[in-house]
Amino acid sequence: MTSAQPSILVADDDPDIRDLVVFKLEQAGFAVRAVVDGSAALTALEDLTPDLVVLDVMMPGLSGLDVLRQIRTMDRLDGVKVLLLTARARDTDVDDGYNTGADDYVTKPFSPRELLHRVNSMLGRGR
Amino acid sequence: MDWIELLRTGVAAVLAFVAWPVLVYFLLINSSYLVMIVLAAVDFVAYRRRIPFAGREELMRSRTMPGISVVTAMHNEEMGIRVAVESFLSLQHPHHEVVVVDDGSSDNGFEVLRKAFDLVPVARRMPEDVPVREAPTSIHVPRDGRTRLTVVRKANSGRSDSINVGVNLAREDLVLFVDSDSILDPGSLLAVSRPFIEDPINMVAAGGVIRAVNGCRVKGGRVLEVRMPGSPLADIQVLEYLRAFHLGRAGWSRINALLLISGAFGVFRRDALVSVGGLDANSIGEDFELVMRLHRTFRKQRKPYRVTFLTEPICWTEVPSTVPVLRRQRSRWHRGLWETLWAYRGMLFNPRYGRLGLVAVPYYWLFELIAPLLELAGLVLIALGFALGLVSWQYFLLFMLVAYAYAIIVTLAAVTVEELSYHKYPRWRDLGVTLVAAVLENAGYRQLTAWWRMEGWLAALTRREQKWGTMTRSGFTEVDG
Amino acid sequence: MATQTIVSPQLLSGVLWVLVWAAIFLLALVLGSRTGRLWREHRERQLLGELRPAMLEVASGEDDDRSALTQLTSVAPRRTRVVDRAVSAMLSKVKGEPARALAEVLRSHGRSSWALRGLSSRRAIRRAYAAWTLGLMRERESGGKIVPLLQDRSMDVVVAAARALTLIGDGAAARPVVRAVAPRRRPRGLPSWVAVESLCTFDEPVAGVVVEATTHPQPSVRHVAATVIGSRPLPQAAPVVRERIAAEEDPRTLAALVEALGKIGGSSDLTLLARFARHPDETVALAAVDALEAIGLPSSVEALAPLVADTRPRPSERAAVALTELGPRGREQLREFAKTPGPAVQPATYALQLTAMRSATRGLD
Repeated sequence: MTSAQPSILVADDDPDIRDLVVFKLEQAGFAVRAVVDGSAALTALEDLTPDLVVLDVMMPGLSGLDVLRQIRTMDRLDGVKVLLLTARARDTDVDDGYNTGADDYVTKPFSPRELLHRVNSMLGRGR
Repeated sequence: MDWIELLRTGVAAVLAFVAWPVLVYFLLINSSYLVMIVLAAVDFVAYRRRIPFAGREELMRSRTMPGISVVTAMHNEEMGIRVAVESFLSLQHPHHEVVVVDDGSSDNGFEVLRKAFDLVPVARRMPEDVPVREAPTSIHVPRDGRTRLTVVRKANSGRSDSINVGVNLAREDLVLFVDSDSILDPGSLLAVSRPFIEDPINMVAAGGVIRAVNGCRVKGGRVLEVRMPGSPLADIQVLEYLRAFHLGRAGWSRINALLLISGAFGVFRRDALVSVGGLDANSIGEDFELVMRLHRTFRKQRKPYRVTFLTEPICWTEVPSTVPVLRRQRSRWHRGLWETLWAYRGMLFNPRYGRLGLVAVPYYWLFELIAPLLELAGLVLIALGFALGLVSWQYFLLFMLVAYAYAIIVTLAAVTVEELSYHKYPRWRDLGVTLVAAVLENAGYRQLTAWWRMEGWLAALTRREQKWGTMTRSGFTEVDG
Repeated sequence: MATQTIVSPQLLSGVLWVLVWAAIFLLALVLGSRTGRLWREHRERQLLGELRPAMLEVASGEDDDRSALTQLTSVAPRRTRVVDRAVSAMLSKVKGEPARALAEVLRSHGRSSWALRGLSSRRAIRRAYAAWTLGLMRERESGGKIVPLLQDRSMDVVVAAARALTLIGDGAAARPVVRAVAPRRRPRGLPSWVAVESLCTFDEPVAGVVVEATTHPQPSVRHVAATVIGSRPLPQAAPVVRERIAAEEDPRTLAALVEALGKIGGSSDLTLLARFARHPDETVALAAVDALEAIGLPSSVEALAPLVADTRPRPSERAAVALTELGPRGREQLREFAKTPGPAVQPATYALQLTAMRSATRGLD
């Protein structure tokens, strides 16, 4: 593990999904930090500048979109990529996500492998 | 002392005449509660068991989820309004908006909201789908143009009229009425929308469970830990809510004869609300009146429709913690009950209304409206009999014990159902408090509330001017940090 | 002289005894159920904690040597129930290879045959769990055995069956699902949203069944069909939708048809939709305005513009806001309206205000 290891923040209220995403990404060699909801994500972002944030859209309290909106107003987090995890199939929500400034999204139920692919390509890492 | 002798004979005669009917009435009213609880229990236990395949997650991503407008009125609530609005905005739902109607507050409530959400006035026009007394003076939205919040200002005209303004401005298919001091669980909007996507053609209204927030640990507009209030007055109300409002209504809903959706938390299809004209701003029991009107309107038009009740506990509200406030509340409730039942007396025993007319409405007359009268009459008689030496103290005690032991059993049954289904109170201590309250309720509280209800009824009959009881809030116990 | 005509003390004390025993029974029930529940939860947490790493490994597809899988399949028989429940919960959240591996855990514990037996159990809850478990395992061949449960007398079973079939995804179940929405003998059928989810997820062919359902005598079925056509979407159903729109009587189904046409229609439908935007039922009118926006063609602007002057505030406001989403031409049109006195001034002004505020927000539009 080197200091060049990309860091990822994961926010999801479902412990199964959160643990799974963390596990998959850690196995792939990322430095991962996990939080349980939107406001915890914002708190974590106060002293953390990850390369990527994985956000569940539908969290109690601040939703993933709310957090994303906040991220996009912070200069310090300008280059941070955001991947939305959404339980949504409705296209309007995907639109909302992109309009709000998401870089990519994965719908639940999800394939952990596909998630990793997306993360890798977003961070410009080969396999 | 001739008149004492006369009184003795009189009371003895009355006692002999009414003792059995009163006892039978007690038996019936408590048995009816018990039946309701058992009916509801079946549903509750089934609810627990079907969680794995009921598809809560899928519900969230359902393509058919209708939008919902959360409508709330505020009147001098600068203390809690910001947290309330924030928590309403952050409820889980793919498509919801919040409409806050400032009912002519004289405090800083609007300023608080303006600062918190960066509100700016917009040139929106209010549809007049539902008649209102006071039109908005200004309509505001957050400056980002995206946050789905609308804040309306208008002159003071009461809660019902304010809610009607909110209904007019609501953009979504469904409208949820909620008190601004109520706390909703994060998934509550999804839960209340469920009946409407199960039966989008016929469902017009759904009521929800309301529970007491007193004593709970609350932070940022969310209930963190459910606890009993710890003051006898509120503890007993927790049980009342559990027994009557929760299990009782679930039971009525099960036999498809729900008459009452609490105004503190109810969801309606907007077009149905518009077709019946919204809340009646003159009514005291406006929530009861609205549901009765829905029933009457739809039955008269011979349109198929459904009204249902959700058993999941998702809305938390503060119950009165002082005697004067509780007294005003109960007196007002009973007055509202009487006025609505009287206004809709045409539904009583009317076969056109099916189970509503033949079972539910008569039940409300017999067991809700008359209950306090008979209870007090029975008490006075037996006490008189005792005072006049007509019955021995042993008999007096035995009679009271039997009358109230059944009531305690009913409460225990409700507690048992709660424990077997949602078990919201995790602390052992609270279980103890619950059990003590179940007994204490019968020593004073029950009799006092019966008296207050009679006061409300009498006030209605004598057409005395209604004093609008304002509920004084003691504020939630916010945890620090 | 104490009167003896009222209820006899013997009767009262008899009743009192019964009540006291009932109270004791209820108390014991409450205490027993709480203790039992806490104890079970504690044990389950402990067990699942031990198996958590193995479960994550399997569920994330990192279990290359299948050692984690072996660990899950070889738990002691008395513990399989707990493990299977956790595996089932996880199964509904992942797809692909990990889902197959997790299903294998269930199969190794005999869940497959347990579920097949359970389909004909006399207990409703058992039938529901059986159907759901088969669905989670995504066994296509069990689909045919689940289908009859769509006519079950218990609504829980019907829902579980439909959701299981959704997971399996075989379009062959489309017709029985439609039939379950309006069963012949029962007053209530399969909840609308469950049916819609199924019909949107099934693989082809569902189009024929859905199109046929648009003419079903029950509005609840027609509503499901209309929603599926718009959501799935089924562009080949466009001719049928145009035909049905003219004949549909139920306003909510009509609104769903109009909405569907917004998703699958084209420029030739603008006139029709514009007409429905004037429909007296506002639910239908609003759906038509939304549909005009959803079609999203440059010519939508022409169709929407006259609607801004609708005297009804809701449709006019919705039309104005829709115009802001249709590019510079739409906004140009609104600016014009805002200048010319008439009923369109206020909605146009409001919509322009909104756009201005939105574009001022950073990083958007």
